[in-house]
Amino acid sequence: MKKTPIILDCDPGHDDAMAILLAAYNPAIELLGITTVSGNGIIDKVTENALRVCALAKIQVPVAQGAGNAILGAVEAASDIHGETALDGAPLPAPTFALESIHGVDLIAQLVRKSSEKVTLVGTGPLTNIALFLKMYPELKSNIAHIVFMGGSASRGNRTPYAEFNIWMDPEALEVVLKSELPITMIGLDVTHQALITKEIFDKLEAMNTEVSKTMTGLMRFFAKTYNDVFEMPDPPLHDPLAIAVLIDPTVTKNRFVNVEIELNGTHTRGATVVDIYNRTGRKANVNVALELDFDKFWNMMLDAVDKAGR
Amino acid sequence: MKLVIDTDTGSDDAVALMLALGNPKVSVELITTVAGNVPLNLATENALATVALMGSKVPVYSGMAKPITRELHTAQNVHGPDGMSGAQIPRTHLKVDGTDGVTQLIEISKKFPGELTLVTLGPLTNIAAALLQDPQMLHRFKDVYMMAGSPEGWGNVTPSAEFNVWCDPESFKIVLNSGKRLIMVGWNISRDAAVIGAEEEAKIRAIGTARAAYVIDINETLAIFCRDITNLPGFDLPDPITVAIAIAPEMIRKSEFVSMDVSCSEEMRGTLIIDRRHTAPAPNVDVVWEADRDMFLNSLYEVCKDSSNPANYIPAQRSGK
Repeated sequence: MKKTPIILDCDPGHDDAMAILLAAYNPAIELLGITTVSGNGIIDKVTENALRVCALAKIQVPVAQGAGNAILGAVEAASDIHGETALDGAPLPAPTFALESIHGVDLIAQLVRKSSEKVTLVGTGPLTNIALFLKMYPELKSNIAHIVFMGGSASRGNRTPYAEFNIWMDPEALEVVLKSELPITMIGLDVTHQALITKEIFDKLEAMNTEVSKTMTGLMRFFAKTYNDVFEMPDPPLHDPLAIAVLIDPTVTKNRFVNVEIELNGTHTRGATVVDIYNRTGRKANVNVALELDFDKFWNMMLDAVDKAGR
Repeated sequence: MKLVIDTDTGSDDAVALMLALGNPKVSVELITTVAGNVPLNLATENALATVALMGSKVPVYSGMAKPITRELHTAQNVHGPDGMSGAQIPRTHLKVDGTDGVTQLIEISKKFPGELTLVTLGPLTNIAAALLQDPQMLHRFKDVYMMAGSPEGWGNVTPSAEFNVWCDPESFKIVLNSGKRLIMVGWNISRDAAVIGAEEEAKIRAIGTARAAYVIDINETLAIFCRDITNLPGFDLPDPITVAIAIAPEMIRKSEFVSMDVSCSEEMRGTLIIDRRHTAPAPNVDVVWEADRDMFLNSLYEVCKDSSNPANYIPAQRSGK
């Protein structure tokens, strides 16, 4: 089977942890490396979490720490959702291998340069590292096949009424990504709020009864509680793995290719993605926006990856 | 003293490099180039040509080709399409030492912690990219001098913004927020203390060396811009006076430690915001308000006196100007 080579830039983070499992344990994906960015937690915590998830699931790929701050200014961790460690809810094993000594942005460049095929960049946190990579290594842009990011929304936001958290954290980074003119897929809240961890899904996770599935169940239970407390959602949405799932099987979502811009100023709406579904502005389409999810298809591949990771 | 210079070499940057490379009391440890006045490849070529003119062996690395979030708008209307007024600058065997200028800035700050003076002559993109990777990077420099901004609100690229800040306001903001105490030599200082009028131009020409001819030749397009747009009695040298002040801070006659921010909005892009209220955030920038014109001119004349011409620069032919 032909594998899609990807680099996963993430801020684990509960849903990021599941995205790591899906990227590492689906045969259609070749995970070249993992880079981290401040977001769900500050950089030290999410980097530690990435290494611990790798240890739990016996994943061995280069991991490097990336940007600790957004392009403009300090970051604010989403501890209301992900807890103090950014991955509260279950103990994770200590890391089994060391971080790469280079910066995450430089690791992306190194892996892209080394790859014989064009690489897809998947961002499941703020897009700071990906933006810096595009600006610092413009000569490598031609080696990028596609950028898929979890972030934004064609409707409402979750960090502010109209801005989704990852994009709100670093709107300038999305501006850079949009200006790259590379193929871009946006996995926004419209579609991730369909990837709910329902009671049936929890039952299936628990039935696996492996070390990995038990840990993931604990993490997801914590995530479910904070989502219910903050957003009044009894079944929490598993955002990040969808950014991997669309690479495994493009039919897992229904998309529209439309113009997307990012609100950089805005009195109340900084960080809002401006998604022109009906082409009212006449601006050129630039982003493939995922809007509808095939629930069963997604969960089959996600649960399969958790199962394989546990064996 | 040990200097690191970050430059978008254009014509006045080249004179600034001459002041540093030609001063026996100064050791330039690293030059990094950045897109600004001209695209990155030209900035690098112009820096290398000037390094060759001065017979220097300083390492030159190129850095960021575009502003940190925006597209590049150059000042080729100010300095000429090549940034050097079309002068026949030395084409040498010199090659750029690498394209990882941002990494080199971080590395050298670690190699000489507390020893280096950093002088920035272009948009702050390289410094911002370095800070995003290593937030402590600027703290390892002894002093940071920036040719940037128009603190009194008199702009050159827009009514209120100076080019280096306007070109990449997001990077400038990153540097302002770094926590490092910065020294700003704005465009106001250049207009007050670094204008080369007819008298000074004649004096430089009369020195008769290759270096003297280079200073005048490469700034010919700038002189036309100053006459037609910025309304100055001659051409001004913002980058050179910044380097001169970094080498001899006693040139500063008056300065003020202020709390500064910058506008990244479209309408006021690159306009500086100085807050002097009691409620202002902690000060971050020493704004230079007055500098010694005679000391600057003397340092310029001094560097032009050296008659060596290792790169065989051939002065432009002039028709009785």
